[in-house]
Amino acid sequence: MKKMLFIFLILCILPISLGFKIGDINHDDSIDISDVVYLFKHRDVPLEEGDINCDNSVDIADVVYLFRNYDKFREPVVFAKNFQLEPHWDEGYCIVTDADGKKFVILKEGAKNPNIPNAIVMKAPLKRVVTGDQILLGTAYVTKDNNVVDSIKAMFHLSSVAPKYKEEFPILYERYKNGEVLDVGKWANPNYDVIVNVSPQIVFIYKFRYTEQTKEKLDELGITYARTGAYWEDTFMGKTEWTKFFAAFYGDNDYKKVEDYLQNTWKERNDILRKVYKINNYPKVAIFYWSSTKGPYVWGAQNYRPKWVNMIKGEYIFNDMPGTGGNYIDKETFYERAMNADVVILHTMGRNISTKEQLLKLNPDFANFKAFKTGRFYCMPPDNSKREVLDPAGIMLDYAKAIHPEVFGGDTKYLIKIEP
Amino acid sequence: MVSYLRKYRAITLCVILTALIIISSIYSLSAGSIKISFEDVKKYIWEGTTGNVIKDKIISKLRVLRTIGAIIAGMAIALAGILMQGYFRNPLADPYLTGVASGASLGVVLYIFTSILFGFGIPHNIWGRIIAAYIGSLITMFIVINIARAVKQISTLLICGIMVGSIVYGFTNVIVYMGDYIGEEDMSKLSEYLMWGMGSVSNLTSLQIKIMAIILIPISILSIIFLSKDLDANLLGEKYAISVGVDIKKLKTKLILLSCILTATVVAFTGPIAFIGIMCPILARMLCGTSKHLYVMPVTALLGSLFLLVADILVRPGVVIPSSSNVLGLSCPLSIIGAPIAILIYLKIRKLGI
Amino acid sequence: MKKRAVAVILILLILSIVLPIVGLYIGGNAKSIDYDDVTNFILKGTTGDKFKDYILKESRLPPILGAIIVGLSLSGAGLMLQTLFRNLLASPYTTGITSGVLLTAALVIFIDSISGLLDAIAPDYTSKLLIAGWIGGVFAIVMLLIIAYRIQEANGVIIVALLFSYFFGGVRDYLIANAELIQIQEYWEFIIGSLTRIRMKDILPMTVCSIIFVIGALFLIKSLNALLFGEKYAKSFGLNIKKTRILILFFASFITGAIIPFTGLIAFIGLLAPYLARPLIKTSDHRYLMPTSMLLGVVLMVLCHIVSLKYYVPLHYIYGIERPASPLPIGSVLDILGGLLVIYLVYKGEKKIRLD
Repeated sequence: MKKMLFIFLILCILPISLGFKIGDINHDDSIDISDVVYLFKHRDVPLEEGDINCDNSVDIADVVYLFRNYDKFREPVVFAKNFQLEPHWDEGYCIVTDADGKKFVILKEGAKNPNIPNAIVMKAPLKRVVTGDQILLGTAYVTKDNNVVDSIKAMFHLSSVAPKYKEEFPILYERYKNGEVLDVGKWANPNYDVIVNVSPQIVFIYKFRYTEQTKEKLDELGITYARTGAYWEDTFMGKTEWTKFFAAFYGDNDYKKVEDYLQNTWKERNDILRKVYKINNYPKVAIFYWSSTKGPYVWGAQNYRPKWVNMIKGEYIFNDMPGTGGNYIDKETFYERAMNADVVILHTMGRNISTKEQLLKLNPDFANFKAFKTGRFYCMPPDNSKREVLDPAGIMLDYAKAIHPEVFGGDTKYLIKIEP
Repeated sequence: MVSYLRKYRAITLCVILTALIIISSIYSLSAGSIKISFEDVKKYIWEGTTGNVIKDKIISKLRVLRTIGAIIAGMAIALAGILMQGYFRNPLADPYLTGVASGASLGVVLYIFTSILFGFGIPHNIWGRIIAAYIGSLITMFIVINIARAVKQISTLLICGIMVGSIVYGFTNVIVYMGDYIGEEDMSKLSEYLMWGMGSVSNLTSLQIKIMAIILIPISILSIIFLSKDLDANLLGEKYAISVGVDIKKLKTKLILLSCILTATVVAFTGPIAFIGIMCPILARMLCGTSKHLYVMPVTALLGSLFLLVADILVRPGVVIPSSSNVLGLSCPLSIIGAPIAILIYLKIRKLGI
Repeated sequence: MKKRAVAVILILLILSIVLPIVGLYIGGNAKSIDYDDVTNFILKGTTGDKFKDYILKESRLPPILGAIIVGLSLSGAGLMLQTLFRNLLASPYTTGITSGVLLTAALVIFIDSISGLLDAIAPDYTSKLLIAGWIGGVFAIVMLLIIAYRIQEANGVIIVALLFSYFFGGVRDYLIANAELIQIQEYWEFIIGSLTRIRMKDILPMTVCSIIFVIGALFLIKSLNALLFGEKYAKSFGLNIKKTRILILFFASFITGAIIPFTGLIAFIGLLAPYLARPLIKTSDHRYLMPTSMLLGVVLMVLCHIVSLKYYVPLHYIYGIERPASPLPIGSVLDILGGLLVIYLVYKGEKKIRLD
């Protein structure tokens, strides 16, 4: 009898911890003040559940942190700042707000229209979509739902995206080759014939000034569109969260799958932060892009990559440059700071630089960099933008491995180390 | 007797060109990456619908607009060209000599790459870009016109116009060079600016076309009617024109002002359109066999519309260029086909010893 | 008249030696290198710190040497073309030479198979661009020479060259419309004129080419002077017009094709230096005009280079900003400053005519 009770208890706990949400300490499937109270009373929760502020211990600081932030943690959108979700899947619908503030009401099959004012009604799952945002493919990858890929009937920049995702979505590549999925062209001059011919339920376009003309034209053609703004997020987690935006359009199953995926990514990120908590040295890190014609391009300290580097105890050498954008700077200032940096991560903008010769062809001055001589010069892989969409946790871990190999081990999964 | 022949020649030319424009328009309605057969187009024209909602939409909301846009823009730029050629008394003058294109580029670049303009109240949508281009070209135009008042010789004005254009172009390049456009999505900013620089009528909405029509058509017609006689006199030399009673100063101001308004409007909506401003007046003169502006100006306008219409048909993928290509800018077919034709014409003129 | 010309040339010569040295002092933004270091570098050849040496030698010095070379060559080329075509607006740009260079560069950047063709000769990216630029320059020379041979009148050559550059521009536009975004960026950055990508090892070929060009220019001075009177008069002096025209075009295209792949489009100096040189020495005698234009070109280029690096100093002082600033492209600085200078000169010239 006791044995059976024991087994029964274990069976009860197991499924719950699989679907654990960060902040939901007492496992009652909601994040509220009772979790704060629970944490205050019981400090013996596992580290990955209870150590909310990632300082490697479960203590009163975590209680305070949870108290301050439990409101935020229970929102459907935690990190991203440019869209909102209001899921009411039990009642059969979900309200999605895009980067422009436009509201959409997504109805499940057979659900009743709740009649939200100023919102466009759409039925999940979508069947005909034109997309310009690759994160939709990220949603497809995470949810493993064929509906998502099947619904893409046309894409912007298809001729460069389809080959890039050939491995993950061979069916998309096949359809691109035999013309089932059409190429809309570039943002600056899209081929509207194609869009009208596909007769899409919705068109996903970026929120940039260069899509404003497209907006007017789509308005005139009477086609629904949503503007996405993952580019404007300033954290890795924020960018990844946009997969939830797209998932909402395909129903509550996909939504829940993405929700779990995001919680897992969050946990892995917290894990990394916990491991660096005790470290006291801040290696100097340089992240930049080198143009063969114009020289060094560096980003401001609030851009999502330098921000992450600063969070995992690396010192970004251009911390005095404010903002999330970047600009070209003159060679001398750059060399002054970058030549003595401990770690260098070079943005290759889609090119393949994996050997010493290729690197020095780009710029022979790299041979004099301290990071090059000590073997800590890394280049981003040619499919870096794809990896940041499909496996952000892996990329975040890679940066940690590059900056603190003594804690994480030195072999990075995606970043390419250049042997001197 | 001879003048009767010339008149009939001019009228015949106009009729032929108008017919060609109508044929090209019908072809333009059917050509594109999505093929619509002539049967469907005929059905659309007679009955108002092809029976297929998608095809209706493509024709009415996309192709009809492009066609009208191309006709109006081509006409306006060609007329602007002939007005400039009259002003400078030089067959190589083009409508961008007053720096209109570089001024518009500066406005557009400020809009795309920086946020300065929003402080001045420019709206955050496509009208912002149009207004920015307009203001840029008008400011440059204003500077050049003022220089024009202060100088006596035409060649000085030419140099000043080119210099103002260079200065503005220098600022444009500085802004783009320093702009934040690295990052996988950002690079489209540069692409947008370059594609705008090539000119395009495919993105126009019906409201934009209506505004273009309201501004451009009256000015074109009025300038043909009222300025032809004075332009004829001006062609023979300033002193001759004064002796016949033409008010040269007023004429010059009118010419440069009208030409700039036409050019600035077209450039603000479609981007700079190359070549038509120079080529069509020269071709029109050759075809008419005369320089009498009352005949040459309508022919120029019709030629301009025809060329731009044909160019717009050629930029669509699937018509001439492979359908896997992207939509091109208008400068591609205009330059690639226009330049060799121009060289041939030039060599022919030289052979004839003109 | 002669005395004034000689005096001006001497002043310019002194300036073109002093300004580059000044450029070494203030031509860079490295905070760790101060004036003493630069003095040590000039006098002893090293600052004592290998790191600072490297920055000075590889980063600060090459653009200044490049400015000298570009100033010498392109001004001389511009002057020769202006005399040949008897048109003050002639320059390597308006004669279509740069269009040929840009077209081949665009082909190499945008079409991978073409750049693959060059893999055998040129292993790395910059030398590929260089060879493509050479080929483009040679192509433009050949076309120009063919046209110059068939068309007797000089202005006709300009018109046809302009039309050819339109055609090349059309082909380039087709490539741009279909290219990947990163290729567009590379292409655009290639054509914007800038001295900062010159390296020490590029200086040698550039210097060799400029020396060849300067010798050629000096030889041509006599023919240029004869051309001033018009082609018919020059013929009557015994000048072989066709040969001279071919030689002038050859030298101009040669030096343009050799320099543009390293620096991008800096064509304005070819227009500006001769234009400013004429009122300075008040004579059209090429024995004085050619050195004046060349030296004036050097002075202008070095000045604009310093401005392009240090332009932000007053702005940052007023607004109190500390962040590093990006350098300006020197081609655009020249466009702006040069344009203002020309307008001022033209206006002053006009005033004089009216007062007379």
